[in-house]
Amino acid sequence: MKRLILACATSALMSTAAYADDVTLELWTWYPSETVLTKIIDAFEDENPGVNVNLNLFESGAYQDRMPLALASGDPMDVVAVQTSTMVNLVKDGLQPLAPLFDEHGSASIDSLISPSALTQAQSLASDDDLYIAPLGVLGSAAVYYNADLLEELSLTIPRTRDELATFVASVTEQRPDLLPISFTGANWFLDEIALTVAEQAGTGFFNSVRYNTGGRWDDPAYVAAFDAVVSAYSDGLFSKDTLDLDYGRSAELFQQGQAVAFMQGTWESGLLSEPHRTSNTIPLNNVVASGLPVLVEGGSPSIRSFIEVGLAVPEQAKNPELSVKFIEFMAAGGGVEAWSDTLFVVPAAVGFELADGIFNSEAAEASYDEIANLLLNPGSDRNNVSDFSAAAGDALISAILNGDSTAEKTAHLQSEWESGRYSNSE
Amino acid sequence: MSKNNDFLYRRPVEKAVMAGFLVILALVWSVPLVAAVVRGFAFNGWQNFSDVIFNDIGGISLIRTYFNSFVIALLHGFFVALVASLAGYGFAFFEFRGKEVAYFIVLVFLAVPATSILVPLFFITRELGLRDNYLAVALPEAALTLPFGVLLIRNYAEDIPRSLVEAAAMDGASNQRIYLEVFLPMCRPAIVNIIALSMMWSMQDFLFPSLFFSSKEMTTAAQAVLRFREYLGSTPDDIGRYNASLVLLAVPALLIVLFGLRFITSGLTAGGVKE
Amino acid sequence: MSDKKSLISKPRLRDIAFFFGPLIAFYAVFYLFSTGFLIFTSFQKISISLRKGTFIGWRNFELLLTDPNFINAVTNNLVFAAVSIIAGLTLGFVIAVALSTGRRGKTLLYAVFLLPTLMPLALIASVFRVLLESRFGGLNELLRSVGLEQMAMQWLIDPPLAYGVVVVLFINMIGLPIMYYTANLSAINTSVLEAAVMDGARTGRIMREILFPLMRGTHRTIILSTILMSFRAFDIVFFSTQGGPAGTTEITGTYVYRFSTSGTNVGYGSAAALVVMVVALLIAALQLFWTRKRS
Repeated sequence: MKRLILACATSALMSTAAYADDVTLELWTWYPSETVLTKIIDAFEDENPGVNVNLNLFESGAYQDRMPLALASGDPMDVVAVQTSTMVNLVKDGLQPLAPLFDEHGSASIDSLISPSALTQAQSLASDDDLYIAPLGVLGSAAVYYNADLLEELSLTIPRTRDELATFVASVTEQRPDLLPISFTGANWFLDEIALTVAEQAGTGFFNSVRYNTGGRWDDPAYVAAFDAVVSAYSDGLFSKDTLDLDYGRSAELFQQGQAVAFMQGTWESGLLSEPHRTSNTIPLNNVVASGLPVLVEGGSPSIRSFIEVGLAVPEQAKNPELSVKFIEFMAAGGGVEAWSDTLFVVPAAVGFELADGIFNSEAAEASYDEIANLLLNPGSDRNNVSDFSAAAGDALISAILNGDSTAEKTAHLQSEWESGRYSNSE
Repeated sequence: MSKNNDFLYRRPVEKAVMAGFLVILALVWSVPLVAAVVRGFAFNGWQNFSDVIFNDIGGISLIRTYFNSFVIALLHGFFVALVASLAGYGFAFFEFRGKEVAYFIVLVFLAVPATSILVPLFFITRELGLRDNYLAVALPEAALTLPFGVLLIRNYAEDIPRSLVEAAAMDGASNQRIYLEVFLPMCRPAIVNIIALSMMWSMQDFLFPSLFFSSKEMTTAAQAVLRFREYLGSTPDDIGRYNASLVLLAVPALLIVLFGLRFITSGLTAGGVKE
Repeated sequence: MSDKKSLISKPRLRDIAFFFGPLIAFYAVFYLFSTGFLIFTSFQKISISLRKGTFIGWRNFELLLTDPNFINAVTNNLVFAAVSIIAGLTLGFVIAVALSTGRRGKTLLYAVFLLPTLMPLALIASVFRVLLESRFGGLNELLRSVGLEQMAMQWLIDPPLAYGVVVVLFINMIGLPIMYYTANLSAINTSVLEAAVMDGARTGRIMREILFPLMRGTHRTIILSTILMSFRAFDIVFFSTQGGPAGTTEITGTYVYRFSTSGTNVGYGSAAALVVMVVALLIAALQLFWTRKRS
């Protein structure tokens, strides 16, 4: 149990070198889970006696509301995790630039501890291109996870193309009509992710061109083709319309309970591939493999949009910047990485990090993880979402799927919405 | 018991139709309730419930959260009852220019959802120095319930016999005395009503506690359940426990209905009409 | 509102302060300041850190009122409110009258109708959601098992059906009107009823021509509070359809929520909140005006 010590009383008297009195480090985050965080915190406290890490853990949505407010109000915070989206720009005025901090207090300069490409993405999030966050790693969407036992039982192989997907679905429906071929949530934001993944399969870096205002438009051929591909996937039965009323939890539940052969989600679900993760969460699956989304456009190749996730930062009001840097280094590039890396939720950004043994229980699983990691590290575009617009894009897709609206009409509509100023893309 | 039972549904046919109608409707209405309970037993049966009640989840003991919820609910109910009854008296018995306009303004804020005033509320709470204080949640909740409370009490007050109040006024009693000795006792059903409603709405609130409490010890029941959704994932144990905790959140409501209902409806005939 | 003469014509200032003071204090702190804040931010493009806001005049309001999704959301609010009111005044009334007779099992029946309004809406809405899942949901599985496959529809996916589901959810909240009618019923004067029965009137007539008109005050309470509180609705839609499919069942609460979660456009969210308040004000005013005319 973490002791709640009023930080204010002790902070003023802190010396930077020794922690003679107990020091409290206020950690604010929404990820990973408390179990994982406790492991990390315990390990850090063991290495740093006299330090108490107080965990302020919130649910993601609540965190989006809570953290910026608390930061702006000067609440006691020593290390804050920032969501790698528009949140960075929202809060950066309350954060300290990391590079100089690491030079001063870290064991090395930050770009020798954390992969430079991850740091570049981190910098791109701030409108002043400065580095405020140390990312834990990289994740992306969309990917597909398969119940390998069911694949074997039904003599199926991982579908890589649209035709293979059609065969896959037909085969499942025929042999086991009680199973859902692919389970995924019909939430609007996820449909947007699917469409954007397909758009990247054309290899033109579509999303970056729109997101970073380098001339891309929502009525470009790459997106129009992707939009069509997704809508036709539903009308041709490759994606089941039944999934449109599944929320995230239910879609995951169906896969884990063996009622679906495959599960489509972001790569943060890669824990499904890890045996320790499955066991500690009592997920009743024995063999899981993964792949990128089947290619749904002509002449395309598999792709994933990826981006850094969970950026750790030092707020202006941190009482002890040296300690904050120490913790960040520990969690992102030091001994702490091993504590969370077996959840496989991100590919760690720590330079030179290798996954421990014992995570995968089959070669196929390990190979498929490498495939996913490879796609993640070579993305077509950044998965740098604008969440309120994403909902609108998803709604456009759903509307086309259910009401047969024309793609031309919908994509033109999306472009005008993008330009309207209503959404958070206009920063 | 109402006196009406002597006058309605006297014919057997009517009685049967009415009974059938009620039973069918009640069955339809209870489907979601039954389904919720069934989901609470998913996968692990009773263990879901015992897990949730007796173990800490995410470092929080469910019992402690119920205690927090209860305290806040009481505070919420108290403030609403006090402030609304005072204002209700004023609106019912005073006459002054602009009264109806003022009343209208009071009521209009019923339309304000909590989500639209979250940000200003956060700053208000900070300025009042109420962080991690039960009042930080109870006061805004009360503010949001007040328009409804005033509506309820004023409407009730205008329907009660004025003879007693008039007599007291004639005797020269001050408004304050009339309020204490005549008004409050006569409005007891409405006051009990609004306190019960306040408490129930308070128990459902997860938004304000999430925003204003940073200490884990202060977590309320509704907030905890929604937090469970995050701490717990999609694994069988978790789903079962999450559903069980949702069902448990309904238990106070059930208790209030079972015990409080009698109080409200029977209390009404006690203050019955004899004009 | 009140057609009875008030008791004390001109109260002293001291009394006004005593009886209205606390209310004014609450309102000043929680509503006045908040409204001021909303007005202040709605004319800016500003983030939740409240730093570096840019004044953009009426732009937020323009964007808001030209967004078909917002207009749709407001319309939905009104429709759902209307449905709740109609259900309350008809079904709720009938149930309340039926329950007011001295029958056995009264408390249990009350409980069944009241519980949905007292429980967390998140629970009810999510239970509905799971029951109505097209593939694995309880309802469709039941229909399939008795051979009624054609009736196993996509309740939450097909826009008209999803709309219907939300309507049903709102009607599920009939417990509150029932409670008010019950309270009022117990307090009415029974001599009129006696006379009617003596004249040989049947139950239906008694209900329609005597009881219903007698409950006028309660009708007004229900109508007004339902309309106004419907603008507060959030959970009931958020946990069932989330405003879907594709915004079909969106209400103002879920609309504002969508734009407030990213925190970068607080001004737009404030504008939405203000417009909703104005709409509510107009409707409430209309309703009061209309009922005053009739009485």
